[in-house]
Amino acid sequence: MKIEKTLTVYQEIADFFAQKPSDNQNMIMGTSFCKMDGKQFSLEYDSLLRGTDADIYIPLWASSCMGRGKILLDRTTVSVIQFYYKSGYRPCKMEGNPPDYIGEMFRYLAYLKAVEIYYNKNGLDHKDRDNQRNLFVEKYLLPTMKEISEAVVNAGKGTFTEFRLFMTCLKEFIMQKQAWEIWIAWEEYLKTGTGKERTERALNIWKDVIENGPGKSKELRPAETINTAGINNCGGKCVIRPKVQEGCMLSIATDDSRNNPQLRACVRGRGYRKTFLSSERLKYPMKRIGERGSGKFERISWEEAVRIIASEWRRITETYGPSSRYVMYSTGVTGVLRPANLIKRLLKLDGGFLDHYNSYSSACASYITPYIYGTAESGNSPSDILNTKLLILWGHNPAETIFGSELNYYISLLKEKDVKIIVIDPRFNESAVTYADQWIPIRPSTDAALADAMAYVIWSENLLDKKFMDRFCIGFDEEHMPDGIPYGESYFTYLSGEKDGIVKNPEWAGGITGVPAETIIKLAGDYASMKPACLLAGLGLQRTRNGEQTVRCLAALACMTGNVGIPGGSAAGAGWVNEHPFPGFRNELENPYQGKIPVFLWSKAIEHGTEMTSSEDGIKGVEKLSGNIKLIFNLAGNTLVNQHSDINDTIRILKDTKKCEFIVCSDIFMTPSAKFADIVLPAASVFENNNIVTPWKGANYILRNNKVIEPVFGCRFEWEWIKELSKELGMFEEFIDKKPDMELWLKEIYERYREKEKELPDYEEFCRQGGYQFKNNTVKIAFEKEIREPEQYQFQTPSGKIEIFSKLIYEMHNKELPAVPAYVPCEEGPDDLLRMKYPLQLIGWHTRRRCHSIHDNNEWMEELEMPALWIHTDDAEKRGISRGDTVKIFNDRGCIRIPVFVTHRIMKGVVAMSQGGWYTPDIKGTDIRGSINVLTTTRHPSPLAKGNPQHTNLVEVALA
Amino acid sequence: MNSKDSVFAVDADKCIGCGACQIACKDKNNLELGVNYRRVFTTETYDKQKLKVWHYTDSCYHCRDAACVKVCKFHAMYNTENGVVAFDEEKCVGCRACIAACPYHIPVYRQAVKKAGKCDACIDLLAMGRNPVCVDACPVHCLTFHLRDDNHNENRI
Repeated sequence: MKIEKTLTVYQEIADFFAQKPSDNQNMIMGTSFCKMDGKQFSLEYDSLLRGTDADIYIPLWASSCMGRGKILLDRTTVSVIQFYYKSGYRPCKMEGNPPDYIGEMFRYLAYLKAVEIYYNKNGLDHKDRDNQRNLFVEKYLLPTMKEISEAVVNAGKGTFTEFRLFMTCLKEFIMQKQAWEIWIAWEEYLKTGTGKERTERALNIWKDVIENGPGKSKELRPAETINTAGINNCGGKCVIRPKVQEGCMLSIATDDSRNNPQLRACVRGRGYRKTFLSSERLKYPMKRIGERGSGKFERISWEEAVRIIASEWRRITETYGPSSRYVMYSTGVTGVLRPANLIKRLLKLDGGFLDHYNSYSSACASYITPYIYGTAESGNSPSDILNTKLLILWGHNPAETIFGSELNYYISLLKEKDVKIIVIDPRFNESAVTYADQWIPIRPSTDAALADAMAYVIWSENLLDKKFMDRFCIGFDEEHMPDGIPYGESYFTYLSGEKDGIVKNPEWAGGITGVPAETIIKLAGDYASMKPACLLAGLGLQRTRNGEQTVRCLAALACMTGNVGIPGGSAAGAGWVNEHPFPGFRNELENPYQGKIPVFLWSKAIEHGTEMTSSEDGIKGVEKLSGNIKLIFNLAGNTLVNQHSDINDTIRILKDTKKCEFIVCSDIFMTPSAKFADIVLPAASVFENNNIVTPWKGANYILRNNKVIEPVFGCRFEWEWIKELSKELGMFEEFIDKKPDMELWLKEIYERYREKEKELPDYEEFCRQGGYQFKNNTVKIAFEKEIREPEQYQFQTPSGKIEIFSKLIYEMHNKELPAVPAYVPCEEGPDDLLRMKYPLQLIGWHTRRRCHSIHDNNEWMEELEMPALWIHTDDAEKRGISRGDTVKIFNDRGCIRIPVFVTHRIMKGVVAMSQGGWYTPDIKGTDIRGSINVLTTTRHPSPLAKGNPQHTNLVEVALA
Repeated sequence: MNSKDSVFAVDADKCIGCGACQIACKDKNNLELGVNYRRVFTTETYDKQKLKVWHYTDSCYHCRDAACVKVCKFHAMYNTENGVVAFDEEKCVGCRACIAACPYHIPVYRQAVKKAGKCDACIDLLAMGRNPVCVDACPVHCLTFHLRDDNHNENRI
């Protein structure tokens, strides 16, 4: 009877892992699980096996126990499946777990025992099969159990030690060593009435195998390559071509077609498999049980999750009105079907919600550029860069921050052509390393001063394109001013210092920016004399306290040198391009509630919403907000905590459940933001859903996300549960608009696009190809029409011209926002007296290893680049810091402790750390992952756009 | 000695140090944490007020007269016809002689499988007429793989 008993044990273990036993009293092994009450047992079970505790990670899958880190569904999984198929076993996917899940492996052992019984009965030789089994156990099962045991020890809770004992016993059991205690316990147990029943039950499960022998063995399906695309909020959506076999992902290739240029994935795209199929994925819907932010959750069903959301939705709407409902800015899924837009659609059907404008990326640039040019689409197509004679990358780092998948390739061609490239940045960044003929380091938040001094040189040395200015611009001199403006308000009057007594010459700027006067003179000369010259500004320089003015200054320079509207030039400004405008939803609904806040001020709107005004806080659409934010949907985003500013203060606000009463998060990981949710929903990753994506800057392609594998565990794309929610709220028909399936939405949007873009293939072909690159490579030059045919086309500004001086701004009478592109010193800039206390300026940059906060938990990227604080050798020396030290970086808002990178690659007086590290506080609340927003501020948004000044910070650094 | 010879070439003027080649290699070869057949390095020097920084991507040099091939008693390291120094995992016993012998510290020890490992220039892809995975990963096309006597056949890139 020994085999039958062993089979029973395996089956029971498999059952235990497959699903939470309803009756823990009958649980196998004398663990303390038995002593727990039902509820306690349930919580412990889910925290160990279903990922409900943010602090506990147990690798339960063979793939994540092979030294390759936290990964699911890789080649290990395929090998496990191969074992299964060979012995005729078909995996059952326990609660959506991959086939190499520990429970599944035990079920396989039970199956093998059933086969053994059959073989014995029929007198067949099963030596081969025994060998197979032993190999499987040794290669996959035991290493997995070992890792589980270790992880359980690390999780370090009393009851878990029992769980570890359980695993140790199991190991002995599998190895058939004399683990007497278990055997005796089991013998006793199986002898009893219930034991016998259980043996019978187990045998019954495998009845078919015992009577008729094993199932047919099966070959693995051959691997296939599927065309799909990147989906994150990245400047370059790229071609991703995963090689897939049996629902597992073997590797990723990228564009190897004859496309010109190819849309090659960068380092992030190459690491997609490791990021998105991480075994840390959120697995099942959960509701919060600890205090907000504690990371303690309880598993619930999808139905219950939807019910809870619906009831809170109703309660909050009835109590506080529709305007208390807010949807976070989120960019985890930057496809046509964005989760945030889906929930917005439902909110619009039910009275509306408090919307936001601006973005965390380009608030100042996108807001202010229309004041200059009448539109934010002031950019030329990426390929136009090949026409330039001088490229100035100003606060722009395309080698790390991808702006179009092809841009780096174009710049490398430019370098081949020996075109001069200048990089202006406080850091000697990767773009400067490779591309730059000249690196000009500059103090953060002072770019406007450098630009003003350049303008002064160009104006005073007669390098000005006077013809262009006279014809197309207003406000640069006193002869070209709008009506009703008194003398002395023009840009050149400002530069001359006639009014304030300060001449904006290179010496003046040198003191502010740290750029030597000779360098400024030479730079201005180069820029004004080499035509066409392309001033390509990044977005970093406008994420400052005075970002609007910087953008205006750079645009003024482009005008003064006549580089606007010509090939190879650049109008600067926000620089957006749209060669092939992509449509959104058809019949997109209006938001019944008109109120809007700047995206950066949502945390203020939780505490002081009713006190916010349009002049002070940029409220739009309504005079005043009728209430504070009480309900937040944060779907596929990390701005709730990590990517917003002043994390400690944000947490203070969020922790108080009386302030914002209900927070729903849907994501693929337990991000720092998700920890603060009341309901956490597991989302589908880029590989588990269909979508359509376009790059930031128009460009000549559109890509398609194809579903490569089925969603893992209990994950669902947001559409699925929002649909259920609409049902619960009685708005199903209106919500789905006769398109119950997401594919119908995508197809409709695509077909509308195709009506405009005739060369597109039909939808099926588009999906199969994973996107389309236009053959008629449109090269767009911003304002080409306006410059070439000024009689017919005017700029869309109040004056119909480019407004160097803006009457609109003049009438605001905001002393932080002069009417001309003047440099304005700002709080926490280099001139602030606070530097006595915090002498270093801190900036963040977009590192190659992350896309914002995505990929931070990708262990491959850790090998490429570890979190570190960049500090200049002299600044380090002054503080007794040397290579390899760990330092603390602090100001009044918080403290971070990370290793230091002592280098000459950064300007003196400036320190930098890449943005996007996941906020990881130690016991004292010091972040140990380099999450820069611990140190950034929410108090001082930029004056007009109310943009996030994330590069305007003062800090001090000391040895930790 | 081989009649043919293969070599990776890096245009260090163009390399942006992004690491796409390193991660593509890791992904394709299914390597463990801490094991890389290709690594990207960044070097910084500061001398006489002059800052110099350059990126470099490093992998097996597929030597003409490879020390690893000579030292391997089990013929796990071997030369292919087109000059690649390839590696047969089945034959490797994990003695680490190749690791000690290589003057460039290229072979690595893979604890998880208790064997050595190194770049084989993706001979499976070469056999299909394609480039090694790292070459086709480079966003700036600075990495190339040449069969040396192919006269740097540009079609390969």
